[in-house]
Formats: sequence, structure tokens, C-alpha cells
Amino acid sequence: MSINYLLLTRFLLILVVIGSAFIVGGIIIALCGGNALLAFYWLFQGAFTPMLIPETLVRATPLLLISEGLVVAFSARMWNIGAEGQFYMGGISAAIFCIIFKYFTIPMQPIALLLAGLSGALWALAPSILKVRYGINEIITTLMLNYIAMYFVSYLLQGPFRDPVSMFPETESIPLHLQIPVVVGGTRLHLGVVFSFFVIVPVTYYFLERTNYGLRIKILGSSSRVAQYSKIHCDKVMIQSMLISGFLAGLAGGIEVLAVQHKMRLELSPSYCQYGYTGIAVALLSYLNPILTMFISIFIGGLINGSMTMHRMASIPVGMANIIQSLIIVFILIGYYVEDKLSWRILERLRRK
Amino acid sequence: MIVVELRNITKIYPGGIVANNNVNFDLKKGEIHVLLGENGAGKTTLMKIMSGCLTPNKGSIIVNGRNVFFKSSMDALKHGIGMVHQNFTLIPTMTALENIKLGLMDKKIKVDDLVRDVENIFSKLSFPRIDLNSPVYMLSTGEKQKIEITRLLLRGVKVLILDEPTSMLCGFEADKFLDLLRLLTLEGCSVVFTTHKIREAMKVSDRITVMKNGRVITTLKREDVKSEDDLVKLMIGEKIEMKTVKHEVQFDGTPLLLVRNLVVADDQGVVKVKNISLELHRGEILGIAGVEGNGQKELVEAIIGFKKPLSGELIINGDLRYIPSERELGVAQSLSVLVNSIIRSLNDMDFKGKWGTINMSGVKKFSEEIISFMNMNIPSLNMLVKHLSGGNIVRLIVGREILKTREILIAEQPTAGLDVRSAYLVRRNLIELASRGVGILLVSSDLDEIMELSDRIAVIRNGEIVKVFSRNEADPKLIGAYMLE
Repeated sequence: MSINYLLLTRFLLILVVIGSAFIVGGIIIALCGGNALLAFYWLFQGAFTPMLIPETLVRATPLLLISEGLVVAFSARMWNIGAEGQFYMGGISAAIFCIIFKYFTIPMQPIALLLAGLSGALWALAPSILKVRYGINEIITTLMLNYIAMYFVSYLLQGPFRDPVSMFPETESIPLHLQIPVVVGGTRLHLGVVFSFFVIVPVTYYFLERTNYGLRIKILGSSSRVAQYSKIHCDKVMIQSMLISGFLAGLAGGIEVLAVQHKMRLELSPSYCQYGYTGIAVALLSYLNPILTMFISIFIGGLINGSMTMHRMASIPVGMANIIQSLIIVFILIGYYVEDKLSWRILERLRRK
Repeated sequence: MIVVELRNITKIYPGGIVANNNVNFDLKKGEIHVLLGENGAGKTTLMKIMSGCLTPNKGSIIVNGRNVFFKSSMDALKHGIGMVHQNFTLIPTMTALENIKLGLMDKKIKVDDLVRDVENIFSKLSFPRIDLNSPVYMLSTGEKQKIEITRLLLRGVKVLILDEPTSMLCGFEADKFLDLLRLLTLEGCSVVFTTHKIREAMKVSDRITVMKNGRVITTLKREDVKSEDDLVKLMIGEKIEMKTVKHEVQFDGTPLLLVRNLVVADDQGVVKVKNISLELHRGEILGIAGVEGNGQKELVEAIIGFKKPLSGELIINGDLRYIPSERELGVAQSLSVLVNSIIRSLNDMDFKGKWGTINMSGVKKFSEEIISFMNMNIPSLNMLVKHLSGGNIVRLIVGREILKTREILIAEQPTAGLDVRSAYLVRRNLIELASRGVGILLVSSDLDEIMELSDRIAVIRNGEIVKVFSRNEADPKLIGAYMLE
């Protein structure tokens, strides 16, 4: 059927987009006097050798959660650029909760994570209300709130919640019984990874594709006037899609703290990852498809990890991975255009048959 | 003397659709040549080739006896050939004057000179005044069209191609527009215009070329055409019984729709509906006739709840369905046909599953019902609406609304953009709905359609209902007089 052709085109285009980014990235490496092939060899080694796959999945998990949320928000045309801040707010709330209640020996991770999600959602609430009430561009407000979140967290980590015995601005470690357990011994592959891949992904997919509510979001995303015509409460849907996205970003922060870092640090989203921003690229590259998002986050997660191996083994700066990521975004935009042209041609050819 | 000749033109779109198959066409100096054909007959493609927007796969273009090749519409303009597209190419946020200036070769022309030139053309063609400094989106369709024509004339166009120029104009505007064409030929222009309306072809033309399925069937002199039926036969191959049978309506019980002293303003705050009162009864088709822009849009927007009236009473006794004239409003472009069949029925129990899910089998069944009802030919239900042809989008919207109508239907231009056969099907179904007790408010700029279907005809002018005709007293001339007076 025609739709399969279209999906195939889309899939091939994603490969072309990624491939083109690598080719241009390779040219840049070569121009700087590096060996591009060697660099990419180590990049893939660092990302996808069987031994390192769990690490790639761990890296992909925050990306996945954030981008699933962004897929929801973007589907409603709410351009949430504030996942980074929501991620930090989630992380700090989970950490603070665990520190305050560290002497309770009952497993309270779900509460901590819920709190993390709610903090992220809260951080997304103000921009969405400003947008709905006063028409203030959410791109700017969410982006600005990232800095506020960062400095707020920084204040908490330097001040009231600083671990007195640590040299760094970070909280004390979360006791073992409040951490999220590892599922495969000898790796960092934790329960949060499993939860994200096997619960959040299908739920998001089902939510967007098969529920009345998801349909409303998508109609709104198609055109707000059509949504109005379909008797959808646009304001409500806009705010809610934003809250879902904030919730998932906050949840990602909570999971990262409870399962990977075991404390809140200022580098919860290190400069070479920037989960909140990279998540935008993941969501866009996956054409707002919750299933595709899963594969793209694994790929980008691998890219981030691989870049460090590349750095060690081929002496190519870690920043190269950022360049490739940025190139991917540029090629995505070209890809959108090409896809539109191609799908017309394919449909016409099929119609002809 | 022949100005432009298209010889053996074949155009195959990427993907293999043969839009023009070995077509010959010529245009004589100072004539009005009508290109007649149904939607999809290949008229627009041929005209786009003539104006340089498309390049043909085979064939040649001869301008004033010389073989030419158009790489783009710029090349065609240099040869004095310009086209007004069906979807205008004006930039909505810029003013009319800025838009005119955009198309000019001479960028340094002084504003005063330009205004003088424009007004010169306006007076020659006896256009009404248009505020040149208002942004284009605030202009009416007719005004936009005039700006487009002025723009081309200022660029020295001698061969004017008009693609479906009357499709967005209502009866009287269209008639006036046809008169304008004569004026243009007096100014030394040669005009080609495409249409699927036989009446227009008969009204103003020197020659008529009929196209069907990408081929030219024949080219006739206007004098040689005896009756409209001849053209119908050529156009669609066989004759379709166009007349629909009417039933009787009983005016009893409470009206389905009661509008009393309604006042509605448009987006700019200008009062467009002034004190309108209406009643729509069970089994009645109430036609709203009027020149576009006289408050029909705002009246309908208030009824469907899109716009809050400033004052007045609005009582709706029943479930209301709506066919918007603005088709983009009826479909979510980036979603599938499947989903689009239910976007107006999100709370319909047929499509709801447990826990807020969608009942996909119910949705699928309904989509298939629409498709077979409207004879749509599409490869898959999962196809995105933006990939559908314009006609299929109209079929989807109209089919969906007709099938879901139980009590009240507000039908705006229900057959605009449909081919003869589908339009007939829609009209027959509107009558069928009415005979089952549905009340239909029919808002159309096609007076023939209103005359054919309505039990009562309310004429709207300048935001007021100036006259209500019953079926028996309705007379097109009289209605027309009320519309314009």
C-alpha cells in the first residue's frame, strides 16, 4: 500500500539525513587534519560494541523520556524548548525528597519520581499559561526558564543542599534503598531504562495514536482553526500537552538522579549531552513518531558515548559529536522538504498504477 | 492573426499522470477564448505551460510566429504572456500597492507615478475604487483578482490567462467580471479563460475549446454553438439529468433554528450582521442568497458558535452539522483520511472506546462509508489529507457532514469545487435529507443552486435580510435585484 511506501521513504530519508551529517562531519574532520574514517570507527565502537550497549541505553534514557514528552508538545505545536530546565527541576526535587526522607526505609522511589515529574510539569506551566492567556511566545519563555532553573539549582547546590563533605557543588548521596536498582549486574543498566523503553514508549504511542485525547492534540497541531471548528478547547489542550512534556522531562531528571548519578549535581545534563536540547533534535528527527523516537534516542545516545571513545582513541574533540548533531538538525530540515516533494511523486505514481 | 500557438503539447507529471496529451491550442489577437472542461481535464496544466510555469515534455510554443521556449513565467512575461492563477499569488500581509510594485521590472518607479498608473488602469477597466494601502488579506476575492490583473497589465501583458476566474465570485460579480473581459480586449489584450461553467462560456467568448481527460475535444466558434446541451455532451460525454425533484414542506412545530435580531461583528469589529431574524423549520431548505461579503460568513459563524454575537437571540433545537465554504477549516491537512472522517465527531459515541480510546473499527467503517457514498477513489484510508486532490477534500467534508446530519445542516457552498456528477449527487442528498425532516440552511453564491433546492430564499444584503421569497414567487431577476439594490 501507498502508506508503506511513504513510511519506507521516511525511513530511508532518516538514514540519508544521518549519513549526510556524517559525510559533512567527516569532511570537517579531514579539513582539520584528522582521519575521519578512524574517527568514525571509534565513534561506532564506543557506541555499539556489545559490551557498551548498556551504557548507550543508559545515556539514551533521559533523551528518550524528554523527547517523548516533546513529541506530545510538538504534536500540539507547543514548542517547548525548556526541557533542559524541566529536567533539572525534576532532578533537584527528587534529590531533595530523597535526602529529607532518607531515614525512611520503605521504598519511596515512585513518590520521588512523581514529585520529579510534577516539578517538571510545574516548570512548564507558567510558559503555557502565558502563551494561552497573553499569546506570549512559548519558545522564548521556556528557553529563558532554563537559565532560571539552572541558576536556581546552582543556588541550592551551593547553599542549602550542598553536601558539606564534598568538594563540588552537589547534594549528598542518596541512600541505597532509595536508588533505582540496576537490572543487569556489572552494568549501569537500571530499572528506569526498562521502564522508559517498555512502558513510556508504548504508552505515548498509544496515547497519541489511539486515544481521543491524543487525536485532539494532533488536530490542534494541524491547525488551531480546524481544532476550534472541531469544538476542541484549544487552550486546555495546549496547556495539557505542555504539562505532559514537562512531566516527562522532570521524570527523566528524577530517574537520572535516582538511578545514575545517585545525587544531584550541576552537571546532571553535561555540556556534551544537554539532554533537554538534544531531545528537541531527537523529537524532530523522529517525525514526532513515539516509536521512531526510541531508535533515534539510542542512536544519539550512542553518538554521545562514542564521541568520548573517539576522543580518547583518535584524538578528535568531543565537540565533533555536537557538530554532527547540529548537522543532523540542518539535514532534518532539508529532509522535511525533500520528503514532501517525494511523497507527492510516490502518490502520483501509485495513483497511476 | 494568431498571437500564441501551442502545438502538440504533451505534459506528463512526474509519476506518470498524463495531464495534456498532444494538445493543440491557439489564441487570436483580441479574442476571448474559453477553455472549457471539467475539473482535472487538463486546463490548468495547459495554461501553466502557456505562461511558462510548467515546461511541456513534448511540443512547442509559438509566439507571434516565432518558436519560443519558456524556462519560467518570467520568460513568458517578457513575451507579454501573464497568468492569474486560481489561488492568487499576492502576499497577504503586504498592501495592494506593494504587491503591485513587487511584480514590476522598474523597481525605481515613484509611488505617485505608480498610483497614477494603477488608477489609470482602474478607470479604463471601470473598476470600483480599491484602497491600495490596505493589506491584501483585508481585500475581498474580487478585489484581489483585480489587483492581480492590474499587476499583469502594468507589466505590459498582452495575453492574459485567467484560470477559473469566476470560481470564487458569486453570480453578479462573475457577470461583471465577464463584462470586464470585453473591456480588456478593447485595450488590445487577448484573453484565455478556463472554466467549467458552460453558461459563462456561452456568455462571453469568441471561441470555445473543450478539453476532456487531457485532450482537446474540439474548438468551436461561439456562433456555431447552438445550445448549452451541445457543450455538456462534449464536456462530460453523456447527458446527466440535472433537475432534482422537490418535496413539500410543512411549516409546523417549533423551528429547528431560531435567529432573532442577531447582531454580529467581524474580526475587525465592523458590524456585519445587522439585526437578522430567521427561522428554519423541519424538512426545510432555506437558501441564503447574496453577494459574497454581505454578512453571510458572520451569520454562519455566529450560528455554529464560532463567533459571539453582539446582541440578539439564537436558539438551536438539535444537533448541528456544518459544511464550511472555507474547505481548509473542515480538514486537518497533516492527518489521515481516517482521522479526518471523525474530527467533527470527537464526542460521538460510535467512535469512542473504553478509557478515552478511539474505536478504530467504528472509524474505519465510517470512513469507508463516506468513500463509497461520495465515490472517492483513494489508495488508502491512511493517506494524509494534504495529499488528496481539492475535489476529494470537498467530497470528504461534504460526505462526512451529510452522513452525520440528523437534525440541522448549515451548508456553505456545498457543491463548489465538485464535478457535475458529484454536485448532482450532493444536491440530491440534500433534498433527501430535507425529506427526512432535516432543516438545511443553504448558503451559496450559486444562485442556480439556491433556486433549485430551496423552499424559501432569504436575500441578504449589507447584513440584513431584505426579502424572503417562497419557492413559487422566486424569480432570479427579482432576487438579483434585491441582492444588488
